[in-house]
Amino acid sequence: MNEIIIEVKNLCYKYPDGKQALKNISFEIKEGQKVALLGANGSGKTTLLFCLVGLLDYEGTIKIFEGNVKQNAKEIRKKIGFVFENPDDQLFNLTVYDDIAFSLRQQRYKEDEIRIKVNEVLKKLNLAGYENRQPYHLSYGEKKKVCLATALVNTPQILILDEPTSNLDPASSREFKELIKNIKTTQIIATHDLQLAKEVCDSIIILNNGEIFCQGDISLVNNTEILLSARLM
Amino acid sequence: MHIPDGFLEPKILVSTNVISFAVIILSLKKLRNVDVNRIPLMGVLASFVFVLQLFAFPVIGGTSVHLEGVVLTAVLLGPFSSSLIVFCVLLMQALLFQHGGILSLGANFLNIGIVGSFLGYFLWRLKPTKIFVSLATFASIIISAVLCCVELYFSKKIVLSVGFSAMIFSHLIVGIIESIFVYIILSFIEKLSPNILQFEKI
Amino acid sequence: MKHNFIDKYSNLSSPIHKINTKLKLIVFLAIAVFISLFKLENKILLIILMFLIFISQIAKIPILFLLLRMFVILPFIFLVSVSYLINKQNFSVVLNVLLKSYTVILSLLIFIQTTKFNKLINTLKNFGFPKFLLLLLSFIYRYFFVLTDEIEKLMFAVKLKQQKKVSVKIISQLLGILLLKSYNRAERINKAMLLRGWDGDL
Repeated sequence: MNEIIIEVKNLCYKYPDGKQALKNISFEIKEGQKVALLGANGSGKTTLLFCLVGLLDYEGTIKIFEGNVKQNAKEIRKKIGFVFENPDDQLFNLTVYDDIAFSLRQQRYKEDEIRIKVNEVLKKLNLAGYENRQPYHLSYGEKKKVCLATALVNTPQILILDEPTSNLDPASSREFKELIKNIKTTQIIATHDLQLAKEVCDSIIILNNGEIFCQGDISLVNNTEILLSARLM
Repeated sequence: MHIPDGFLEPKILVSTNVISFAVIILSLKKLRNVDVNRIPLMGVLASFVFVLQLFAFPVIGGTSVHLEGVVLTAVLLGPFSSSLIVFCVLLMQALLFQHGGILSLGANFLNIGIVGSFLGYFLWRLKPTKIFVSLATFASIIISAVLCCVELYFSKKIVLSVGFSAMIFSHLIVGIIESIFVYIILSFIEKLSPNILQFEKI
Repeated sequence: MKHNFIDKYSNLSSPIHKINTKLKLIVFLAIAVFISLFKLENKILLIILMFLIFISQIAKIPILFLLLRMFVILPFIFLVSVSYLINKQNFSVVLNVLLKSYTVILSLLIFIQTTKFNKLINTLKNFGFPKFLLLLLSFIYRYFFVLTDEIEKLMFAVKLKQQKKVSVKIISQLLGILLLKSYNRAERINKAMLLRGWDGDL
């Protein structure tokens, strides 16, 4: 049950302009863990997440489900659901239905199977009736939920969320937190929101200037000294 | 100018649509196996060009002038990519705003899309400087005005003297504004993000 | 820039809205081809026009909106009128051109304003319209609102700082910013597409 499913060893990444974004990042994540990835702006959180899914050309080793991400990115991505920070980057179709169905259509599922899966996930996220809505005309909170739906429709084994509650009003933020709390999958959540981390996660990794500042149990979040040093407070 | 439906005779409609159809098919073929990165880029830039064409620059008096952005697109992405983008933009304008007709799409695409994309790109290849691109922009706008007149003339709708004077006069202003615009935006790109000019041009 | 004008009546409900999109498209194209290719008397065109206006009212499209759309062809009608005056031709000939053009525009207007955009795209797909072009059209529509929002914000920021009217230079630079933002956005969308299993196949 609690086997290691994500193994990162000596991950380094340099931006095209030469700046070192990530330096010697190493950590392990077990199945079922919910990890908060904390760090100030520019600390490398999003870059790290993109490396995990093989979108960037990194140095070092990343193994997910024992597969090397560099070689098997496409296969591994099928088991990962990723929610972007900006919903307009992720919802590029004309309707909510098309956006959620997109990944299923890429895998050549039949239309009736797709319909069942999409309706299921819409219901789960209180979005029933939204199938024909246009992404632009949704509220920010609704868009974020649709993004989550696009990630969940594939029943992923790992869920990665980049700043899920940023720009959300308190009510939508609370609703979103409840939703992700109830999802049993392994999660990596990049966030500034310490409250979110405390409520949802069981462990944390703190990044500072592209390096791991510290990592461990969620209780570290109460350590003011650490948070101040990492510019999280 | 975007010619509406009902102004062109069948022979002009057929000939311009045939030419445009051929260019579109050729462009689609050239872009068949492109790098995956190019596709969302073309999508977003198509939206950019569409927005651009709605942008009105205030000129003297209360009048305003609209940009085309065709030569700019050709210089950024290449003539075949630019052709497909401009075709789709023209189609959207025809569908949503009735700016330009549906059957006259062939003529409008020929005048605006094909001329701008290929002339612009060809001149860029000849001499990749901002001044030259601005000149290419001006030239393509004037040529598109001339073609528009010729098509209307052969459809027996206008007298050449009236057509040329009106079209070319109004397009002179458009041409000047657009060439200045292209020059400034290219300087801007060169300064802030020159690597996008290195993107493969198809 | 107000952007709700794009297809504001397509979300209404009426018997016309409910008609199958394929059928509406075929009817529209039939009307456009018929009117463009054949010589028709003014009387006949007027009858068709009256019929279309009647349909448009069933579709709940405001008459004022329909009449205002006539403005797109006015510059061309002006050119044609002046030309026909020079050639000492009958005014009824000009009227014929006006009626032809406006009838096609009206039928397109009714079609578009009673059809949801995504349904239009799906129908075009069923007719074999190239998928690449459909993707470009979808992106144009999808990101039109996003880009106009971004431009509005940029314009607002400029207006707050500037006392004078905005110049060509400022607008060009704003559009430059929008262009660079578009490149960045395209990169992120590309990543989103890849993460959802896209391999470039349309």
